[in-house]
Amino acid sequence: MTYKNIAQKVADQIQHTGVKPVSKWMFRLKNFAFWSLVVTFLLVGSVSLAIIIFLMVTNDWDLYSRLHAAFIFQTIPYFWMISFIVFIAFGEHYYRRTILGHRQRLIKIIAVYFVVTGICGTALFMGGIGQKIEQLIAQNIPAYHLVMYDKDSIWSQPEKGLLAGTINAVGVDTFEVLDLQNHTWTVEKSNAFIRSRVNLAVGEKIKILGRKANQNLFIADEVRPWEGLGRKQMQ
Amino acid sequence: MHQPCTDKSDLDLVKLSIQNSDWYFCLLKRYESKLLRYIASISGLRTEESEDILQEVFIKTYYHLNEYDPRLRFSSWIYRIAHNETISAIRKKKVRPQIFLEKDDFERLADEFDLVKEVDQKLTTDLITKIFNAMDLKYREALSLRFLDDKEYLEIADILQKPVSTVGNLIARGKRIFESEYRKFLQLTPYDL
Repeated sequence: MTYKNIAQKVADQIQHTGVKPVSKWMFRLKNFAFWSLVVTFLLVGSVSLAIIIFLMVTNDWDLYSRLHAAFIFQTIPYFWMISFIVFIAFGEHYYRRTILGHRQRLIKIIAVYFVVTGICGTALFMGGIGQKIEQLIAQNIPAYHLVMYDKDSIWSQPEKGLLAGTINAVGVDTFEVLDLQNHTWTVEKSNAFIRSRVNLAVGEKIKILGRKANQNLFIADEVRPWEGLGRKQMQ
Repeated sequence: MHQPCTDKSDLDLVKLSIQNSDWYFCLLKRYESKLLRYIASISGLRTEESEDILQEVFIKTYYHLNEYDPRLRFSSWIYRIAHNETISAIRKKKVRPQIFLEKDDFERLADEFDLVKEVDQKLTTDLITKIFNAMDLKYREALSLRFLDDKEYLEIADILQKPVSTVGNLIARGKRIFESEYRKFLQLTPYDL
């Protein structure tokens, strides 16, 4: 066969087999699927960012003075940071596979993704969506605790002045707390700063900064909600 | 040709071909020789093998006519299909593609790279071929599309599915590599080539 015959051969093949071009709806569907993936990854990236902001803002940064640098490395939300980067990478990959996606430079696509996810992620955080999703995942996916820092163990160090648990009973100057290891403490609160979001009532989960007086008595300097805004709230 | 094709644009022919496959013959004839030459130039496969790839390209293009988006030039789109099919064929065969330059190709490259034409033409053609074959496929293909097929940067970007700036870098770097190698070879005796 010489090239002069290829056109004729292909034309004959199309005629004889009666093949037709694939329907335009198939391609529209394919295009829609790609754009859906681009938008989905952008949204999931935004949710990851909202959770990162939530975890960073609500982190008890002031514990640094008690627990030093190890505390910072322990509490950085690596899982969500990696997830944020991975979803940006996926989004970039699928955007490139759209009809004109290849024309844009990698750095430009990533910059646009950062800006858009930055805006959406901040909006989701401000709307409380980041917090809700994070708590939903924490409550329903047991494996989540394996990839996040162990907040329970940080707040189960009464000898370092860190205690957390659920209020069992409330008195005038004291209240009773069942800590995360199921040990009951009497907490002296007469000189404690109690943050405005704390509702000192039975069933409330709280964090307490202070000092251990004996095996059952803890002197509170400050009482915080379990899911609070840390130092920021105090200001 | 089955119908008068010459007054029709590529886009017209795509629309007509979707309605009636007879019109597709016009597109086939319009791109037959250009694509065969392009496939051969980047793959270095024998003519029969290049023709087989071209046949696949034309069939695939026909199946996907409804996917064609007029925001791209039709030529860029069909070259992209040819590029993908050729690269796929090269990978399957696991061969290093070799380029074969024709006299016209040599003339164009000699002009573009300002080569010394007074040197024996046969020798220079062999030299260009040798340098081209030693180059990385990505540079070779960019140079081939730019200087042998006269494609604009944007068209090359659409064919290779890379940003225009990357295409610019590939061509500039490809030219530098080519010129540097050419200068090195010129210092050798003809027996070394």
